Amino acid sequence: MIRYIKLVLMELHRFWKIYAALAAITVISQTAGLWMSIRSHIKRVHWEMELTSIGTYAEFAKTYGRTSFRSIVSFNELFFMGPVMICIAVLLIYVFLIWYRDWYGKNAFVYRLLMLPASRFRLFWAKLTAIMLFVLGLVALQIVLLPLLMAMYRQMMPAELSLAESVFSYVRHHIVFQILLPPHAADFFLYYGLGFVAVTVVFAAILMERAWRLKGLIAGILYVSAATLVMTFPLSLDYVLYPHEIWGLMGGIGLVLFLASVWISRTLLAKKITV
Amino acid sequence: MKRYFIAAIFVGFIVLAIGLYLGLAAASPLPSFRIETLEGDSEEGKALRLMGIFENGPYNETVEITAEGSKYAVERSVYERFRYSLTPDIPELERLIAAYPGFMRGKYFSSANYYQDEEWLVRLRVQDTYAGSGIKEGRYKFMVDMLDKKNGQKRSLAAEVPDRLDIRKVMDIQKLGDTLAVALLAYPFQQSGFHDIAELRIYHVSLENGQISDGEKLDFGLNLQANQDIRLYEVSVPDSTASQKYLLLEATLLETEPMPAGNASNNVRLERTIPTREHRIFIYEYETGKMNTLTLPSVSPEFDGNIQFYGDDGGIVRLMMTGEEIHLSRYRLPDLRPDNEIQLTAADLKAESLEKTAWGKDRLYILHTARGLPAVTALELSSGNVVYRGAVTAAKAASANPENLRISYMTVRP
Repeated sequence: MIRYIKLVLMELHRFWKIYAALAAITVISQTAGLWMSIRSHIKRVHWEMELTSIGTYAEFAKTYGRTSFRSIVSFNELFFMGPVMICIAVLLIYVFLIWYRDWYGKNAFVYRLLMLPASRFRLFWAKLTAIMLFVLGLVALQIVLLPLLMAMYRQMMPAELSLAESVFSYVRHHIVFQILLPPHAADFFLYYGLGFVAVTVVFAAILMERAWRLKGLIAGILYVSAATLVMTFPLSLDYVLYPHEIWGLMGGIGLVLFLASVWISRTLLAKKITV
Repeated sequence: MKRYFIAAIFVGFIVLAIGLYLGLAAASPLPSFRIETLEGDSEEGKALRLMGIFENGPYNETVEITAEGSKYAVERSVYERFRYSLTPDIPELERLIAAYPGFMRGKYFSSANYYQDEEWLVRLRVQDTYAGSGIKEGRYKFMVDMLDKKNGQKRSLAAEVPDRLDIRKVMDIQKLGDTLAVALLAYPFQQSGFHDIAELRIYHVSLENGQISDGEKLDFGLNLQANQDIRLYEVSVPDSTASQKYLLLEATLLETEPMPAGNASNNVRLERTIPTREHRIFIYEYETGKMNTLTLPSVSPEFDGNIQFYGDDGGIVRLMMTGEEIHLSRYRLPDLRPDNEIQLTAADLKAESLEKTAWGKDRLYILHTARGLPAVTALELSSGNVVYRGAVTAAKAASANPENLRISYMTVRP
């Protein structure tokens, strides 16, 4: 267990600079985006009030309506969603890099890792844990950031112009956040559970490539494609199966894919990958 | 050691943030509403389902309200949404799926394609037969599935329709002893060009050997001109899968004229609807094969409201409704004699305005507003008495403002 934790810590440590940069970009971009949106909105309101000789915010809100957090954010959506997309892209790339940097990084670190006097399989779990922690860490950051940004909106916007909404309402109606931050616990575990299975499948494919090189690459691509096909296949059976049966079947296939990917990775790490 | 400490803080942050987020989300649902019985049997209220919109700040949330509580579309889990998208929103079919999942598997169609009594559940599917040409040839097969409810045994048979037709819709099926009466809305088959006049045909299929004994084309006695057509609509019945003595259809007369030159394609024509002030109900009696017509008194040209029809084995009801009043006329079956007339104003129902209606077994449910809130009143059709009053109430008055709630429609589970 101690060795596994040490390996996880090592993986976290190796990525922390990029990870911190991603977190900083998210915080700065979203805060700055919201600040700019509110400022320019208030400016626009003042300009409109002058033009139409409206004296108070209350009168303005009566004529033009209040502006919600959602609308304010949508004025500068790129500042909001841009960093989220960057984080997703970087983490997707890192799913591959977490293995390949051991082979192609400085001093071919993989020689030391694979020679450790312990099960090589711990390396697989450590990398999988690290990826999940990176993902969930950014999710947690966004969860903390959203209420803070809403508080900032309430602070900066004149009360007469603002329209109250909860974090959950905002998330449920946001096309990306409703998937990244599902407020329904069952959905949260479903999405991130699926992500977890997907990462194990990709890890198995990466290890196939590492074990058999070009042939492994082809096998890996085929494995990922087959896994995607098998996983989504029950959805096409809606004319013979009831929804709970389709769901159960997908759950079962997900579990089989996870176990198969873990077994493939374990076998490849133990018997096929040599240094 | 420092690394362990930082990692522990990082993991703690993740667990705490996500745990709190999911916990708070579960603990702070959208405002909850329910239908509360104010007067009458609370079982009446349990059959009702109100669908509407709740104004939640900048969002319009779709909500479904029953006597048990409310459910918002956005609060449904992915699985619930998936299940919702694959389940037919027809109460009769939902009930059949729950009771006979094996028999209903993957085959829903419309509730008119099903018949059930205490012993049997029967399904009819109309299948095109192309005879290998790939082009519609107007040939069909009836695929009949039967489930013996007592022993769970299933039997299927196929019957070839003897006539060449363009079948549009199965209006109803009824089991009469060992035969299945199939009521179809169809056009005479034509390879190209405009359709002739719609026909209602009744076929009798032997449930022993699949033989079709006749294909009775019902005569509406309308003497239609060449440029006239009729549209037939099912009259609302309490349960379209149940055994019924009569097939009840409302007829709307249409006058048709061809598209101006240059705009017309072979099978398209412009149809202009004649405003129907006179309503006709065709009543086909399955046992005797007799067809009767009920011609209802003409509607005044000033009437600017909603007209609906309801029927059961005991009678036919015409509902004329405006925001201020409802007028119900009931005609007894089989003699078609006027039975009772009920005229009620919004004030009689303690309502501010009358909005929507839904039919139940011997019931008319009226959705209205009372003291600014959505409310439902149920009338017994045979007697005209108010048998139920219910109102939408908020579970926690502080968090839910029912004034932000707008109900758009109501359904009744049979």
